[in-house]
Amino acid sequence: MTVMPSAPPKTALVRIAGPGTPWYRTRKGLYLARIAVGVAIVAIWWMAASFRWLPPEILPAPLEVFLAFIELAFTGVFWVNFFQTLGNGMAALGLAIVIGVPLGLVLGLVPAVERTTRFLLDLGRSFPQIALLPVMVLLFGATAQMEIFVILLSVLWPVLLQTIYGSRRMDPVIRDTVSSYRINLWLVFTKVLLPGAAPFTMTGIRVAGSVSILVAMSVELLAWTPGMGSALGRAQIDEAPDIALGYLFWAGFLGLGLNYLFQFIEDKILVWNARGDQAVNS
Amino acid sequence: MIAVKYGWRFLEQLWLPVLLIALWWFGSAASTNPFIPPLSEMVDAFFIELESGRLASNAFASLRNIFVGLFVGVFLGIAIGTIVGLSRAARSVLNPYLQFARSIPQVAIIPIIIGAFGITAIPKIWAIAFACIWPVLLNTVDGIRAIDPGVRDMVKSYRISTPRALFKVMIPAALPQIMAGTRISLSVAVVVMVVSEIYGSTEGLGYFINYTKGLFQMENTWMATLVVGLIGYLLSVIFLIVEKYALRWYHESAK
Repeated sequence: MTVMPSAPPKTALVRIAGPGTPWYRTRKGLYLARIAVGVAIVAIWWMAASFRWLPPEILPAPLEVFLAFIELAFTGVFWVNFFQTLGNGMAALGLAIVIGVPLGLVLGLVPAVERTTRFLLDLGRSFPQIALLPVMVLLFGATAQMEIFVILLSVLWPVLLQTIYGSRRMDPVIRDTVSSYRINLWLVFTKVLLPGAAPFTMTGIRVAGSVSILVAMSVELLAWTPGMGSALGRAQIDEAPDIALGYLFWAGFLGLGLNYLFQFIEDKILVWNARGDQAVNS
Repeated sequence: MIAVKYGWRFLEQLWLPVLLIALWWFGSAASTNPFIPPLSEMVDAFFIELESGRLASNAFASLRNIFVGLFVGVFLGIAIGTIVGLSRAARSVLNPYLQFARSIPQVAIIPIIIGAFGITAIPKIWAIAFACIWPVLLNTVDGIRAIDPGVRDMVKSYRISTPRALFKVMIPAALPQIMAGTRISLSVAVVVMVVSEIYGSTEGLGYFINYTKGLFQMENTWMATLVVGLIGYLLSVIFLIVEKYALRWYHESAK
């Protein structure tokens, strides 16, 4: 389903400043400009709130939201919800890796199997799995296990499809070498296929990481399973938009943090290889 | 020979889905679990609801929200993305804000928007549009940034007017990335459509799923769920065809 574009490759944003360096290439100039943009956003928001351009039940003043955002971090309930969402998302992601990586390596290795399953894979990828939620709630009840299962149905595809893509790209020379040396199947999988597919798999995992939080919050919002999604919905019903927006910002930071974490892991694991980003959208 | 080859390819891709549907059909035929109705009942429900017009009207509401929201989101994404992409300063300064906006789970704004503006179609369209902006915007920035500096110099030295440079050079050059972003936005739009209609609505397929679930009309709930899935699949197939057509120059040049 949803596949996010990857962040652009890191280039040195700030270089050593010289006399001719434009302002946005110096550390000081860049950070000042960023702070200025932040101040401008808050100013426009503050004006929108105080002149009632938007009703106060959707847009409280920035200070209120900021205070709610900070106060949330000092409540136990918030952290329970936070780790509930994160834990469910990561549990589903872990299952998706355990299922998707071996399956993807095999599917990518045998072209006939890949062709046979192509329609099912395309259907699975474009099926909006969240639509299954009402049925799943009836079958399994509004439990954390059900939530993890629905997340798994969504995050399996990026991991599986990226691994298939990576596994398919095995160099014919390597293929011939492996078969002429009669390297046993276990070693082929762990030492040849897996490292070869890893750049693509890692991209799939990173994408699946943000999808997992998206789906977790959707399930929580609609089925009221505990987590940030249901807390946000509850705050909205209780007419506490500052708390709702506080949760929204925390959810954004969670997504951002996960993305950076996975990128960091990717860079650590894949030191020998460029990321398999180009495959994300193909 | 070619016909045989394609026929074989077709069969190769077809047998497994057909087998699975057959297994489902016969496996569920004697189902007594009220939550898992036989597949045949879902097919019957499909034709009954097609006849009654309820399916068509709800599907229309859902598709309208997707298309209007997607259009607004893609338009804004390309417009803002082009401006940001053209300026190195804007790119460096705005990057952290754009990364953050993209990281917000798109469904989180649904209760806020629907809670404030009600359960009509317009807030849902805004929620879809808001969710669709980011993938297109960030991809447009990347696409514009990646344009060969020589092309830009050429535009400058020939004094090509700004609108012409934008619409004839810059945006077409970034189109592969823009299309990739739009494809992501399309799937996000379907998800936001479903969630917003289950959350609070009086029309749409998500509403139909939730409403029939409340009435314990399981065959209708399942049927509408499958229809949503098929719509998601068909939209992505149609988009692939459109993309292939729009980018034929790009694929040809890559050969």
